[in-house]
Amino acid sequence: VTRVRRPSAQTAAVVLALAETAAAWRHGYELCRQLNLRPGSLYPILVRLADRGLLETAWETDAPPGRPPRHLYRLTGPGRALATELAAASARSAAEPLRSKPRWQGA
Amino acid sequence: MNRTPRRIEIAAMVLVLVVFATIYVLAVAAEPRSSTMYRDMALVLVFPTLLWVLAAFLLVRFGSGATRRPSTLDAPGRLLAVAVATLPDHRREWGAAMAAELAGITEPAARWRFALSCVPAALWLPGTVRAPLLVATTVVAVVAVAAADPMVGSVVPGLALFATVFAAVLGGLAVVSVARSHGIRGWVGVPTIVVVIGVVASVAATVDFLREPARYVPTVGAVLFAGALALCLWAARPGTGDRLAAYVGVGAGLAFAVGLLAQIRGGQAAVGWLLGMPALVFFVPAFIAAVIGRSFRSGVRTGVWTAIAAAPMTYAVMLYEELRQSALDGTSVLDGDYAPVGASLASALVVLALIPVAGFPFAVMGAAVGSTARRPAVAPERAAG
Repeated sequence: VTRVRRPSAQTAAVVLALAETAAAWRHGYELCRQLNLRPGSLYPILVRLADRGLLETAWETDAPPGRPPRHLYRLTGPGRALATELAAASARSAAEPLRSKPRWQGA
Repeated sequence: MNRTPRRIEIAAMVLVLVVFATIYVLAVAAEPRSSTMYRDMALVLVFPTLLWVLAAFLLVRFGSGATRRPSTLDAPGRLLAVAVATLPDHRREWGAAMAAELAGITEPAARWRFALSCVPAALWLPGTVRAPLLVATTVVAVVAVAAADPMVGSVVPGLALFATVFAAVLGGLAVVSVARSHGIRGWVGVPTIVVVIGVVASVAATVDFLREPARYVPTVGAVLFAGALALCLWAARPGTGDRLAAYVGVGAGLAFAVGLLAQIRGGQAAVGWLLGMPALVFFVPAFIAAVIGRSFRSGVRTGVWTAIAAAPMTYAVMLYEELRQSALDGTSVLDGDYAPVGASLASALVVLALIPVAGFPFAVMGAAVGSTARRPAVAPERAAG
């Protein structure tokens, strides 16, 4: 049985940022700067998302000489579904702030 | 050449000096003594201090790979490299991800911010075990700590404090291990069993010592004894890998304890064995493991296994034999002099501390010499790995 858990605000922000360009690979420092998030907060979130099958990872294949390949991230199918749910819920809660909030699956 | 490795070497050596100076000050402050005794205490501490200063230098020099290739890492890079080196195998990829990301950051202040933020994340990166297992381990640890005093205290009152500290240290380490682990798995081999037997034997010897109502375990002794045994069990836990180091190290530790027993039963004073043999028993196995395993780390791990096998087993041998000898003629097996039976525990506790303190630096030296001896014979790309 998959546990139902509401993601934290930071996790939701990471998922939504990755969903902005769902097909593109993103790297950690880029996400830190975009979300103004410390790497010490970002990496545990990425680890949990990957553990739950919401994030796929890969190593950069075209790194310039002198710099090691970066670790890259993008949402999986279930990750994109979660992002859609989060975006919809965010829109709903903005429109109806007193309405009860949904519960999330996975993250 | 980058100055950072040299600074870390110096910092490690200074740290050792501070630790031993603190030990000396605490020992002096604990009980007023004559100036001659203060001088003798200082002289006694000089030798292990120098050994550990050298060991700290070698650990940083060889452990960081500074002998293999010139380092291009700056201080934030090294800091992060040390933190990610503590990650369990199944999380190494995330450590590499952080290090690769840092390599792409050029601004010095930003590099420091990134590294400093990543260090705690690397040390506490979530494990993959299910939350119920972590909760269960925590509950068992808390219950064990709470129950230790009343349960053990009702059977062996003198060991109540020991039991509480033992449960607290081991429970805390178990929770941390489970939180960072990939689940309960690994290899329970002969070396682990030998260490467990040593720990059980040392507790049994202490229980035997406490049969007489007048005998007791002093508070500091109970805390150190419990902490040492808990660390031995934790270091010998399944899944720590490196079977060569485990078998060679435990074999050496066992040989040390059996050799001490043979020495005592042969009518020889134990002090010569205890002071002379650790150098050999730690140096040679670590050297062999470093040569065979082609790795400094393999030699150091062998030293750890030697210590965790030898210390509890030798403590048990020492305490049993002290009690036996005291009942026979009132002398100590340590040096053959007459000694009160209550001093038996003090002798055994000193031996428990002496083995890792006096022996482990020799394992580091053996590992350093072994890894250096092997290097010219292997291809450069293998030596760098």
